[in-house]
Amino acid sequence: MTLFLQVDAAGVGSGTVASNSAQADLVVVANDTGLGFDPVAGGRRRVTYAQTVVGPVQARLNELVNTAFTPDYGAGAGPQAVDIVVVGLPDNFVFGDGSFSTVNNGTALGPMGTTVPGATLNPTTNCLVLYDTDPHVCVARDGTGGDLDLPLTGPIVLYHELSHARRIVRNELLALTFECDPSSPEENAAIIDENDMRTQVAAMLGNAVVLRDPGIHCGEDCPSGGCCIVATLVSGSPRSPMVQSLRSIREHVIRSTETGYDFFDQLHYDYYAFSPQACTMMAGDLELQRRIRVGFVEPLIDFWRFVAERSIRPDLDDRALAQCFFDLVCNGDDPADRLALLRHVSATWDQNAHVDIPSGLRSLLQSEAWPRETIQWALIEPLRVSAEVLAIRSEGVDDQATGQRLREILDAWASMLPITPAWGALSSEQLIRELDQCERMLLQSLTAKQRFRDRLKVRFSQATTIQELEVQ
Amino acid sequence: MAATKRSISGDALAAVVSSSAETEQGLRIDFRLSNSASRALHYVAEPRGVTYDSVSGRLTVRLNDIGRELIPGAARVRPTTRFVEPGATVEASVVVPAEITRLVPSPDGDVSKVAFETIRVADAMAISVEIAWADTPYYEDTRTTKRDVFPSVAWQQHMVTGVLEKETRTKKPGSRGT
Repeated sequence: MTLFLQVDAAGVGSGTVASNSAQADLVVVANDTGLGFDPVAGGRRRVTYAQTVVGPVQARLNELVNTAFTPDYGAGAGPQAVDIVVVGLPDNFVFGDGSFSTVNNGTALGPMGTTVPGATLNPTTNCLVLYDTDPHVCVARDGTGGDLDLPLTGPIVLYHELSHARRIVRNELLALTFECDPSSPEENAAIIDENDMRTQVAAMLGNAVVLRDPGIHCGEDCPSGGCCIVATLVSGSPRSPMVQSLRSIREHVIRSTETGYDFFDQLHYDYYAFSPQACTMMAGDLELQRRIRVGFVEPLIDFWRFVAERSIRPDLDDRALAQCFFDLVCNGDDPADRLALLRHVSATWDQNAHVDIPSGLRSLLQSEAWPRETIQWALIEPLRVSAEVLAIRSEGVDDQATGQRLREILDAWASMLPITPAWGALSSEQLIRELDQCERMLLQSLTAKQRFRDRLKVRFSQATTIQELEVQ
Repeated sequence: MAATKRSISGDALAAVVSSSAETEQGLRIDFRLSNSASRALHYVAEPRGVTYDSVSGRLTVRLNDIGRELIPGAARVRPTTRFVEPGATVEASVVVPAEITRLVPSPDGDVSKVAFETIRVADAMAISVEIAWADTPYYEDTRTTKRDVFPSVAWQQHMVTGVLEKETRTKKPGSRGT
């Protein structure tokens, strides 16, 4: 017996390690019904494997699970039995040298008391495979000369570390170097193995194989590929046109600048504080899903399409601006119908409204969504702005006057763009560039520009680049 | 052609840790960096590690790779760097976990067992932020060398430390260079 999955750890309560994710990753690695897990004993499960699938990954797993490794690391200690223990790390894990797990995203540590790299960080006689089950790092795609745009995933990282672990328990670890480009012999070998796993995953998903460059071991943070869990649910697919629209807006409107990227990170964080639970509550209610789609997600996409259109057509006069708004925001609907829809959805969230919505969902949104500045500005206020302009139209105001009011309403909304910490750390050149993009995108009037600059100065009273900003 | 001598003073970049606050994301630490040099100075802008001394209650947040061991890994993640313009001050923030979890020997002495401890660091009495910096941008040296430190450590010329002492509220936040 050799391979174990850590489930709990002495001295701490259940849940300290990401055992469920690690178990799921092992299942993906095996891709074989011959994989099994014994009951928990001593805080861990023994992994069993009766191989039924032929492949390099399965052969490797078979060796790791069904071999009793007894390496002799020298120094007179003689051969010693070494088990491999897989640990899915918690987000807040710190190694004994003080470094966060995110600087490596995974590792395999040799047993304590040996000269194997990492042994001083390991307080056990096991070979520990410690890894981040949800990495956010991109690595070098093969054939690109070093483009760091290939994501790591939990099963890929796990298999990479099992490659290291195999050589540790066979006492065959190759040389490591401090540089990541070119990669060390040990990392080169692990990446070659990792590519077997990438090939297997691609076949499982029916995708083309994209391999990692074994010659480069560097990595850097990469953005999450996911987008809007609520839109995915109500539109039925993560690849629906609705979700694609939101993704496009995210990439080309919100996240196209340094500060926009920072803003989106905060929005993403805030959004995922409630959206998974919201989706769970909506999962069985098709009528509620329909209402969310037509009354919230679609109008929101329409509004942001208008904002994007306005940013590339800054010279629209008042009449043309109003027409552009109605074309895009009403999206073929009668403005009066669209207004009624928005008002109905708005009432849905009112605590006192007699609208059939699960009370748990309403409470969740009121406590976790509405109070968040980014959620208000990016997801809630746009619908209020749309309703306000549609209400003006419903009073019989002409396009010219509606366009004027629309400009004022947009200015008031846009200049309240949430200010994130990235603004304070910009150089003057970056600040000018970021402001220029932000102003072209959102803050098109002098009033809006000045209002936003004033807010920056209040927020970053010690940042010289911001304090030296010119008055518009 | 003679090599350009690099002799930037270690005092050129000053750090002041202005505040800390626990947020949903973790412990946010705000600091200011002021560049008194006549050229831009580049610094590591993300935490690479933390140490916590539970006796003194001091949390040290490392924006550098000093002391990091060479171990196998899935990817060698490069540090994010930013710069401060000549004569300028920037306000920056980093977030670290409010609690950290680390491996420890099993309390019952069984060396075959995996054990962890979780420590709350958000209540630290003092917070030090150690920031690596240099007068040129960080880049990966792709020459095959027998270096015995990480490239980011070889790159850094100095380290500036900002300190926030929380137990004596009247004491001003300080800064020291190394």
